[in-house]
Amino acid sequence: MLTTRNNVVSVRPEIIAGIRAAKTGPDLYQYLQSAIELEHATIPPYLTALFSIAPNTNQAAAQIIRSVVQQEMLHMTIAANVLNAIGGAPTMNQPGFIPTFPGPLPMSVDGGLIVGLAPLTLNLIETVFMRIELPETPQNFPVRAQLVADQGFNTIGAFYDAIIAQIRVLGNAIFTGNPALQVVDNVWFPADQLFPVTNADTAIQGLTVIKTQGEGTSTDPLDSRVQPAHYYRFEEIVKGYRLVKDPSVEQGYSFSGPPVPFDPTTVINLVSNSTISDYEPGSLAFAGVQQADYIYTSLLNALQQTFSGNPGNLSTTLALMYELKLVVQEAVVNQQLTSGPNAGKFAAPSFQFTPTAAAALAA
Amino acid sequence: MSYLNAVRLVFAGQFQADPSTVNNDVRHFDNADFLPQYQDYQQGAQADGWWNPNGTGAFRFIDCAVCTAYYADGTSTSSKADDPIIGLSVLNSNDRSSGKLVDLDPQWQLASQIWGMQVRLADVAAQSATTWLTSTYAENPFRDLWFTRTAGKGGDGAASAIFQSVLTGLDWAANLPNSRLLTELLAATQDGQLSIRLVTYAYKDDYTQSGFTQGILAGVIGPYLSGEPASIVVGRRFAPANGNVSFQNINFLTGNLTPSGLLLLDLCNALPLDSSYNPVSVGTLTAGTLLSPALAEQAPLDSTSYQPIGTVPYLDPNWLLQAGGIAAFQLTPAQLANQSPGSFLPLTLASQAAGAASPVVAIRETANGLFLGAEPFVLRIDSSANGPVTATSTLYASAYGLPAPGASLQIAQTGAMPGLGGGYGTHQPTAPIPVAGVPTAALNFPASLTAGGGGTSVLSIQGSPPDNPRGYIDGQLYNVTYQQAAQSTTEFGPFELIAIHLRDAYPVPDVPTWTANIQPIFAQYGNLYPIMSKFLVQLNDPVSVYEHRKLLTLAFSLDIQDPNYMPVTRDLSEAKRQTILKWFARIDQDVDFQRLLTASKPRTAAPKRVAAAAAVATASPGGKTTFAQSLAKSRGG
Repeated sequence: MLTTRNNVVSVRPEIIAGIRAAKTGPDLYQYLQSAIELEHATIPPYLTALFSIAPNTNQAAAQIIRSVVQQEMLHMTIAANVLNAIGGAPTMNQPGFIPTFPGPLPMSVDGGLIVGLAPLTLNLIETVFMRIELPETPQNFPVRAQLVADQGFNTIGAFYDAIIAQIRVLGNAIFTGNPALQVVDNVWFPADQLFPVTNADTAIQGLTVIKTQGEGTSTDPLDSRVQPAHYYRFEEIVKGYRLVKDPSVEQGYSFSGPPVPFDPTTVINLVSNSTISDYEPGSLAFAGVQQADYIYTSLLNALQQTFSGNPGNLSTTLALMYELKLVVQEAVVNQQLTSGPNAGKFAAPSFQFTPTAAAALAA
Repeated sequence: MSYLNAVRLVFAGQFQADPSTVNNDVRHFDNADFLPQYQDYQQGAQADGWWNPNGTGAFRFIDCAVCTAYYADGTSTSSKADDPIIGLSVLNSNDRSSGKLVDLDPQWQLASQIWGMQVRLADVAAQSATTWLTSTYAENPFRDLWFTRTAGKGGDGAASAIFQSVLTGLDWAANLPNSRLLTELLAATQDGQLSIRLVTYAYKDDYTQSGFTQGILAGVIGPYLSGEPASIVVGRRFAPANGNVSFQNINFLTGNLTPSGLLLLDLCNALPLDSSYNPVSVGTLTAGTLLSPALAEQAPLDSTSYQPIGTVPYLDPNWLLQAGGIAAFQLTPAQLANQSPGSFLPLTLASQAAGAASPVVAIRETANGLFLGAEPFVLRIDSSANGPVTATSTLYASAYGLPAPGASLQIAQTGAMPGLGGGYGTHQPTAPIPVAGVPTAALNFPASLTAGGGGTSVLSIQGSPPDNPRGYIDGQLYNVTYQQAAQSTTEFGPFELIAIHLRDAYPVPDVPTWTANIQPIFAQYGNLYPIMSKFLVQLNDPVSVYEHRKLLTLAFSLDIQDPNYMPVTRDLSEAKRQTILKWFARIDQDVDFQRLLTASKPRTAAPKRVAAAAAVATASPGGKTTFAQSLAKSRGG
């Protein structure tokens, strides 16, 4: 039995226990808030990897990562809808909402997977991204199956399973929230993925979307849209081929679809675990990183607005994502540092809570 | 008059302007002759995409904070202990995309407007911010642009301009701190708006240097008074004798004498600067009344010809930023005697160099204090095959700052303007530079008007289809000048006129197609805005357009004041915009387009672009500078 757990995400057992002990809607509030934080926590690492891909290179890999980021935003939205539906209040625009990088993901055990901000490598995908999205029963990895059977080891999927189960137990009675707070914008996400959460059934449906998009089901790596779950999508980059239905193999699927080529030599060598203190005040890199962090903070503010009674604000929020992308690619990742421990590397956004585009944060 | 008011707050910091410069050369609009190198940074003498080809168009406040509060009783403070408004951050939105700086047309780059910008006052701590006020900045073009302000700098780095506008949609926090300035401001301001003025200078347009795309911002916020224009002070207008800059390099400026006898002169955009961006000394500078009203610049002054009012403390450290460049004087009864209805005399600034025998006229008010302003002075008119389309601008006529009912106003087109908006250096585009300003018959308006009761007159301009006179670029660019009949043209700045982009009549097709309608429009945007192609959507590529159809539909559907409105440049006629939306709505039925999707080959990787290391950069001649030169040449014939 493998005892090393520091390369996976394991949700703390007391969290699962706490969910199972919930007797009222309010008892579940903190877990759904944590779900929002967890879905969000993956975005900075995934975005950093995405931003390290130079334009017009590694396009298939970029498309995969981008699609995963978009779905993490969907997952945040769904989790926030569920929280609003049971009368809670999502909070996104606090400094503590963004985890510290490098560090553990929200809710995870000590000694578990450490997630940082780093440029894209196959190793990063295998040892970090796929670990984040690890299914309870990943396929084709017999050695992993033993790992998850280990007592007290809870994947993110297991976390959602626990919430789903408890919602079933507590039933429609806990759905006391104001329906007007539900965020549903089908310009960005189709109606079968983003819909109002008003009762137990719709909440379970939504949380199931999160689960199957993240890790697939125990039998099917593809989600309802016949798109591989995140775990397998990342594996496509590692294996170098898209995952497709394949009746010729026992598992029914194989990495035998169109190629997903990866050229590591074109990846921009970004500063890892970027923080604003990595950059010299007054330099272009400093200004760019600060600007990017301000936009990211504005994005969190926009999300907060969206989930606090302005559901129509989702488009504004997503427009900020585009602005972030422009600023990062135009003014951050093209700035090469010329001195210090990161000399030769390129600047990267630090995803720190930045209430102004102004003076340096704490020394 | 608006921000030139006893009650005002001064704020200062930096600004960022990130315009895309591929569209600086009008010839880049010619799809047929467009070359990929026009999207590259300039190299040596080869202009290509000029100094910021990847610009996003964003305009932002950076590190701005309130530095001084001026109260109704004439006192002021810069101490937070006296007034919690001191030190307050002046910011843009923290939950929306940033505002955008937009030129009317490549053949008129001298009236840039800021669209979609929010202005917030907030108390910002390291990890949180408490917003006192959120507001929308109304888009108004900058004025009094000049290029010779700063010694030792070239191009746009030496330029300076005023943005004056109003803050609307004021959303005040429920619990405002106890600020005397705020109390007085709220009591004085009307119509739910505030007046705001920005002066921008010290711009850095070298992409390899620290501070690139940033400059200095000197701001003022004051009350808005009902009935006033948003973007002009109808007041005491000082004009350089030659209509350009005074003999000491002082620019046009405006002042206001309030009913209570307070004279406020806005020198923030008027005084020349040294290479460290501090005012150049012209000796002792005073403001006063010209008792001999016919005296011109450089004329020596004495006690019979000049009644001083006060000394301008322009050499005080950081005066431009701390005081917003506004000199204020409470007139004595003796001084007011020459500045009252029936007895007005022109104001003047007088300078006396060390050791000089007497002061001389540095820059003076216009003859008889005449002024004529126009708002709006940038017009976008979509012409129509169904008949003339009317746009209006209100003209404000005054004499010595008071409305001038009955004033005789003259309005005229400038006519043909060849050579506007070209480029410089080697390997210039081969497309011809269209002649602007023709056919004059496409614009119709009265050549003369009489100012009404309030000194105002509404100028109606009718636009008819110009019939694509510029070929590869839509519509035509016109200039319309205005003045009171008694004025001379030197009392107006070189760009002080109404600029009009008259768009071609474009019948919205019943069934728009990619090939006939969409591709030509998108190809042009794709060429001109590489930031889009590189990082968002390749507008030239059917596959990319199709992939992003929802995003594009949304972007083209937004209100023009939304910061995410597409196109950023706001130069698309309404008919073309409707055509685009109509096409997107039926994109799956465009058979030829769908065929292009399936026939599309995989995109080949673009040649590797080396990430920007320190490059050898030659001093940029500057976007606006180059344009202004083309204009000067055009006018010179």
